[in-house]
Amino acid sequence: MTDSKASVEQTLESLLAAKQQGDNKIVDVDERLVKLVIFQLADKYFALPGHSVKEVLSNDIRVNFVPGMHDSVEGVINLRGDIESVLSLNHLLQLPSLEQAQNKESSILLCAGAGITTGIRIDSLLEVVDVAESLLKPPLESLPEHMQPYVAALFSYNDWPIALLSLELLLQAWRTQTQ
Amino acid sequence: MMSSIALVVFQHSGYGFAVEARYVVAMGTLQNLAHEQQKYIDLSGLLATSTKLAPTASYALRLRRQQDELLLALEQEAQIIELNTDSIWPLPPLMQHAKQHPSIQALAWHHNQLLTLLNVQQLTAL
Repeated sequence: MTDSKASVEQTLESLLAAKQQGDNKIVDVDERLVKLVIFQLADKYFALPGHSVKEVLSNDIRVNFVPGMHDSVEGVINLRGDIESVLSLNHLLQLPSLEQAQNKESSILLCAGAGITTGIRIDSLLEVVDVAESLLKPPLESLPEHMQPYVAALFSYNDWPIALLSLELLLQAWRTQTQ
Repeated sequence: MMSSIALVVFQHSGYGFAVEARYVVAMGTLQNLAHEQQKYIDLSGLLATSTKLAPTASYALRLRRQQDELLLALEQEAQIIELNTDSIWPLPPLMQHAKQHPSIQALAWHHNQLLTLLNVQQLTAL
């Protein structure tokens, strides 16, 4: 009985010790979260910071082709009286160009950054999520060279390997490509 | 008071275009406007709209530039319109950068159709 009591006390002691140790661990309940808009282009996964995406436009909106533009310009939309460009990133990202406008899941992200507002064509919108900043990893050196200028971070979500894009750097690279 | 601007509107390869009316000296049939020393503009080559083959041009605009005149051959008869300036937009910044020819100047909406406004002074002859 004494042994049993000692055993219980020991267990209780270790339990309390363990709890005490646990209490000393710093649990960062205030870890910074970043809102990300995750989307698919061809068979690849990308994300843009939530603050860069002002609106998601359905594929019902009419995109008007403008002759004499670089192939990476899909056209313009009339958005509540304002004219906004719609860009394709496929050429920049070296992805095959599909008939995106005919894809029912396709949509347009209305993005704004560095004083520029533009639509960006995506194949499908997957998620809008809050991700802990600590999950964002710096881009690997093995990242394809053409993506290095505008991929801000890499992370995994739902087992998707996702490249987080910087809108400002992306548009800068897009400009360089269309020169 | 709303202001307006006079434009000459025409179709090419299924797309709508316009130029400022003040630069249009004459508009009519190609036969009437063409002459031997005339400089021509090839809009198909200029704007790379060759995926849609243009039918034989029957009409034309004679355009005045600072130094000379150019003839722009058209598939259909052009129209003069007065367009409210609220319907005219500068090119969005990224398109200003991505345009393949300096003559592409602005965009406009007319009867629910998008018009590409061309700067006559930047048009180049063949």
